[in-house]
Formats: sequence, structure tokens, C-alpha cells
Amino acid sequence: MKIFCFNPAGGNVTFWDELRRYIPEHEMITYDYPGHGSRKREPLCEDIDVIISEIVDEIYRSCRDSDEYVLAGYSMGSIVAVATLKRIIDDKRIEAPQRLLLFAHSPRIGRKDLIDEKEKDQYIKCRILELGGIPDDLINNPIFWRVCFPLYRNDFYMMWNYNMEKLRGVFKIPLSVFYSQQDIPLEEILEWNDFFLGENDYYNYPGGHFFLKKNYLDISKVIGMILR
Amino acid sequence: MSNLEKYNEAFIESLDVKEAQLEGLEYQAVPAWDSVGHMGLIAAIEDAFDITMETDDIVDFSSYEKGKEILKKYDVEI
Repeated sequence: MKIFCFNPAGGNVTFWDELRRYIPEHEMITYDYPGHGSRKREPLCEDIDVIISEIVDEIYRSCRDSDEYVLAGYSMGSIVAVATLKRIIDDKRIEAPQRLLLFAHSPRIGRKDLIDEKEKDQYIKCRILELGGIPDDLINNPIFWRVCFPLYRNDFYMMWNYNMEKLRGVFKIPLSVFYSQQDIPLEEILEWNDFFLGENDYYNYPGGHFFLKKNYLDISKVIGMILR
Repeated sequence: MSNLEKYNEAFIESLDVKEAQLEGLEYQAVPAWDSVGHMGLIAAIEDAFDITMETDDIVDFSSYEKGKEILKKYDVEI
């Protein structure tokens, strides 16, 4: 089965390399947002609709009518996956995916208008540090922040620009959510049930926001079972 | 210290390589030159030559030789 994978904020397709090794029976198709990874020379894009248009074009090219596929997203990539699903349903060009696999994000995306304009950069930086995932050697490296902060900022703004509220009660396809209670409490994660009205299942792992990096084997077994 | 010596020292100290390894050295060719090591290398070069590199140049700095070309833009001749 094809699994279309969407990266976390600031990330690129290499994020999925390790998981790919654990689920060789499925084809993981990854995508770099403009300005990230292999597309680092392109301008960044805050408009999630532009990015979704590119993504669905790729999905339509890759999938024939009878192909089964799923969408997967990690952290901010979960919102991209949900937005992509909505576009596929609206376009009606191909069948909806069999399932969504969402990692490390609830439906809540915050609102940038609630954060003081002058403090947005500091808020984003603090949030990035809270979530972990930055190697210790880079936390105080000014080059790292000079190069990478614009990507994080762009991605936070892109996410903040998306209206999740309009999607309440919209989806009926099955959902599997992987999360860590050390990152997001269960009651918040369960809010996905307000958006996906079909069969949803939830899997908790230790390890904080980037729990995937400590649980590849277990998670790959669950994915294998889910997608059988 | 000449510019070449300063340049080489930045590589040797940041990437834990020997001078004999520098010619032809590329990003990710040695374990220490990963994304983390790259930032350390750039910091060392900026300090050595008292420059601030543009993001595109940091991203394009993919080899020992390429770095020399890039530094010309900052009036640093190696």
C-alpha cells in the first residue's frame, strides 16, 4: 500500500527514513515542503492551500483508481494530512484514502492572533525547544537558528492559517492516532473523534513529542497490523 | 596564520579530520560532517574570517573546494 507521508514543522523527507526501513512491505512516498530539504532553494510558502494543491497533484499522479493508499503526518504534518484528505474528498477525482495515520498532534492548532505580534518569534522558538528534536549541540548554535528558524516560523504560520473548525464532523474514514501522553494528554488527543466519526484507534508511547524515534519497532508492527 | 591555514584548521577542529583528508572532502563523506557538524564548521569559519555568511551560502557549502569558492564572495581568498 502507498503511504503518503507529511513532515513535521521545519522537517524534511529524511524524517521518515528510519521508519521506512521497518515497513518495507509498504511504499512510503514523502514530500518536501517548498524551501525545505531537497527544495531548499525554493521560496518558503505559508499558504497551506498552495502546498495541498501540489500534494494532491502528486497523489493523483501516483494513484490509479483502484490503488489503495493512506495519508500519514507527523506533528504539523498531521494537519497537512487532514487538509489533504479534505481536498481529495472535495475534488472527487479519486477514492478517499483507506485510513489516516496521524502522529503527535491533536486537532488544536492555536491561533496566531492570540499571540502578541512582537512575541511570535520567541513563542515559536520556545515551542520548538519544548518539543525537543533539536540536537543538544545545536540549541545554542546561532548558525542553526539563522538557517533553520525561518523554516520553523514559516511552518507554524502555515499551520496557524488553516481553519480546522470547519472540519468538525466531516470525516468518516478510519483514523489511527499515535501519540505520547508525555507530549499531549489523552483527552486532547481524543478530540480527533469530533472530526473523524468512523472507527478511530489510539496508541500511546513513551518518549515525548518525538516518540517515533524511540519506538520504531513497536510502531511499525502496529502499522503493519492496521494496514493488513 | 595564512587564510589557508585558518580555513584548514576550521575543518580539522570542527570535523575531527586530518589535513590529508581535506582535499575532495564533501558533506556527509565523514560521520562528523552531518547537519550538526555542518553548523559547527560554518560557525568556525565565520569566526576565523570574521564574516557572516548568507543562508544560501551556508546551504551550498557542500565541500572543502566549494567552500573556498564561496568565501571569495566575502573577500576571503584561500
